[in-house]
Amino acid sequence: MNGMKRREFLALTPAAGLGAAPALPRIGLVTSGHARLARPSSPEDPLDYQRVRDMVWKAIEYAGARAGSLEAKIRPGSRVVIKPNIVSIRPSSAYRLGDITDPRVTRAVVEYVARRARAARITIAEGGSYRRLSDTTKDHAAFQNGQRVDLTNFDWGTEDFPGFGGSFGRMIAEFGKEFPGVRFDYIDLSYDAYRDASGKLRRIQVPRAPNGVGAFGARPDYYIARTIRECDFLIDVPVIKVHLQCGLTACLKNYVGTAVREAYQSPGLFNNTLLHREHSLDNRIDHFIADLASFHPPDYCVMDGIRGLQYQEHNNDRADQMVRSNLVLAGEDPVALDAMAANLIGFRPWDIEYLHLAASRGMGTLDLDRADLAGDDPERLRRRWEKPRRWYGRCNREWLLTRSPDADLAAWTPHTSRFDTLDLSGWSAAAVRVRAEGHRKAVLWVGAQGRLGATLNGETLMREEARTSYRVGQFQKPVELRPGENLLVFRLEALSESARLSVLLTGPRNDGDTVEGIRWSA
Amino acid sequence: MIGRRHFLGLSALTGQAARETGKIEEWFTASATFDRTPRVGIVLSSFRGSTEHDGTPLKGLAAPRPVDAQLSYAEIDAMVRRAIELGNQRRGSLGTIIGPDDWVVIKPNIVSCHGLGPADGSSHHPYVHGTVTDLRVVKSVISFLVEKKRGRRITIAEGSGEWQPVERSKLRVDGWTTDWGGAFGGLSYRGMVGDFAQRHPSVRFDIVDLNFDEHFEAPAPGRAHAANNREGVYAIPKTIRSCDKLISIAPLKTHATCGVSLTAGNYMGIAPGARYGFPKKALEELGHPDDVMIDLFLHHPADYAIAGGSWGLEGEGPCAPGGASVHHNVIVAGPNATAVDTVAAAVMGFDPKTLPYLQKLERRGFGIADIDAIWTRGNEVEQARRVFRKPSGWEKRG
Repeated sequence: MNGMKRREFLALTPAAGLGAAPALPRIGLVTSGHARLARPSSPEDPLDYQRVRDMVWKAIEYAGARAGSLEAKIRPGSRVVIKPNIVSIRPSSAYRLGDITDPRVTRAVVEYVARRARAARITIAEGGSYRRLSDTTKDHAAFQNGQRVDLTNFDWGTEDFPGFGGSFGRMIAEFGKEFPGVRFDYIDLSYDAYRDASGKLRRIQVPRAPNGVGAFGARPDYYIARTIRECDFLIDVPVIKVHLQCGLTACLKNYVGTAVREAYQSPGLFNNTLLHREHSLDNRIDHFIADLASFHPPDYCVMDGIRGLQYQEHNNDRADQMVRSNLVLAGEDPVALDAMAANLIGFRPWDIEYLHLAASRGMGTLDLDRADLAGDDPERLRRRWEKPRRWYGRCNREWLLTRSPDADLAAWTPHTSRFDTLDLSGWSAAAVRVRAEGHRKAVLWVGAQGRLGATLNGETLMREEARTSYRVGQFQKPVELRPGENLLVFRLEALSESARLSVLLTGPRNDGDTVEGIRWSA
Repeated sequence: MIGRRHFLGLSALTGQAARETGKIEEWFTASATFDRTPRVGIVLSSFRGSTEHDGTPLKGLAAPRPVDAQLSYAEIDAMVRRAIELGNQRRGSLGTIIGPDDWVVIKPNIVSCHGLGPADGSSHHPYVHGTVTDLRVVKSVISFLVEKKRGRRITIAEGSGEWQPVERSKLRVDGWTTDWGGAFGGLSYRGMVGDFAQRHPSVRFDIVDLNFDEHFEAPAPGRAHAANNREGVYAIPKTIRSCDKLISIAPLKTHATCGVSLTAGNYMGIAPGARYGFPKKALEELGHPDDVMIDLFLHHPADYAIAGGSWGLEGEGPCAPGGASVHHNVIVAGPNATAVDTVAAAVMGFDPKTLPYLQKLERRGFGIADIDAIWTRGNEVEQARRVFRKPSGWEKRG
């Protein structure tokens, strides 16, 4: 864990946490073996609904809320929306156990809210890659026993999620009977767009955050689900898994399901092709993830870490793709929770780009040293999940630039790059200081377009004439960082119309993760 | 073995069987899902055309020749292009996998060198046809890329455990300069690269001897396989790390230890001799060659793979004197090396299920090693099959 020592962690028991500064976000972490559960069980236990519910409720209890409990935050008579991640259902070839939020976790959250809060309406809302029953289009339709199904009536059976049984529709009906004063329903976000008077789909502008930060994506207006934007209280219930493009999918990435598929599908594909095409920036999806979350940042999050997927989201046909961890996390701060999830599965939170974007909008803290932890010890639970084959972390953004490389460094111009890649057109050299906590072995990854010369603390590291395709990490070189400040300088001469540079320091495993214990500065 | 058409027909029957047994039946309709079935093109020099499973006719070669005929460059070129065309995936072909500005490394197998033998040093095996990649296949692939304007830099790269460049060995010839006794129409790698460079000045063509390329040691991505390499660290040449795309081109060869040596086995040649020796004893000590080969493959999995040519090697390969030449004109091509090797092994008369490296590659997610799940186009495997004599004791091991 980021700089956190076991002794410091142990001080953060639930009781100690109660006395912590109220500004600090709290994270509850509960495994199936947690000693205070009614029936603790091993991390391999398939669990039943009672155990899952016990874990979820305990995590919520530990996480609390900055001003009272979860139920205290939900105003009486309000509409609560619970957003799981159910991108596909079982007949789809993309489906795999671990790819969707465990329905038992969703059920436990619904039950918690129904029993403890005084909500008037509890809505389960999701938009997956399957068409709803009332959509007469025949492609991307799921069938079970010859009948057309969607999330409302697909029967999950008893094997995949012991103790859930049946469909979400049945669950909603059961809760309706048990809590007659509350309205329960399901909204398919894929069809939940804003429309103008003529019925035409309408885009909504990303709201400006209180700190003035606006949209990040390539265009600032989205087809966003009405239910998400307008509900009183939003509980984000994602599953933790690896994602091919952005590394981690958890709380914030779950918002991709709030982009209306009906609007973003391209012909023959009931997925968000046009969302990617219209809103991606620098070939990344991080910007629209942070934008989508801005319409209604989660009021609370419960993360399903019972089973997840390594390598990538969705089924990749590998026998070892699904990973069972039997844990649940809860809390108010989606950035801190995602950072913790990243940590638990072997990512460096720093490397997840959308966490930086969300943090800059004031959605939470990326610094786990500034979060209260309660429950199980994350240090014992941390694993290295297999990452996507082409994974790499966040490249340096803080630069000093010059047109006169021989000039004193103090005369160089500070520059913050928005992206991994720095456009060096019009400049001759770029430098960055790397502060290392002690001696560090690392591998320098450089992407360059142009004639490059690189030095570390004055010693030549590499000379390249890069005229072929540009990519992050094309040129690699083992380096040793000395304790304290190190200086990397890159001279780049354009050989075509553009000169580009990207720099990453990965650990001795050379796996694309930023090496631990360094800090970039200009 | 199950035929391709038989396999495709079975999927329709499974639904009926499910209904009859009372199991839950679930299916999903999608008009434009991504086709994940790997396709592999198989073209014999005798290919006169065939049909798709749906009856669509596939055109044959313009001038088919017997499978044991001596072929000209033009005839090999026609086979290679047809196999590339047939091995196209819905999501991309060789022409789309390689970008216009890419640095493309073509990795042939040049383990031996014509004109050198044991008299030139203990590491030299005598050259026989089938030991090395057919140079005409390499030339054809480069011509294809140049015509399609794919690749800004095209590098031919190899690191043989037997021979070293003449500048170092001071011998009369090396794998880059030999004309292979005229076996490939008099082609040599050095001459080929010079010729391409002259005719296409906008593309950089070069040769990199991987034995002496700059390299550094780093763990294999994910988990390493080789039992004696606990750290999982390998020295990998800069050219292999830094290139954008890698095309592995190998002849059909048997291998005394691994069963076959094909486009994945070709990766033994990326390990630098400067680090592992001549022959690469230090590499052999790391573990079973199957595992070492996979570890090396992980560092830059092939972006395209081609197996075959005019000659292969049977018996105690991958070199003479244990291995003996087989004249069999066939090209097997596709974007997935595991699938290509699976089909090539089946063509050689091996049951791919008995080749551990293929099963391991599949388990690691590098493709499909089930011959029944690969969509072969062109000649059927059964038509292309030429049973290679297996290494001694292989059947028992299999």
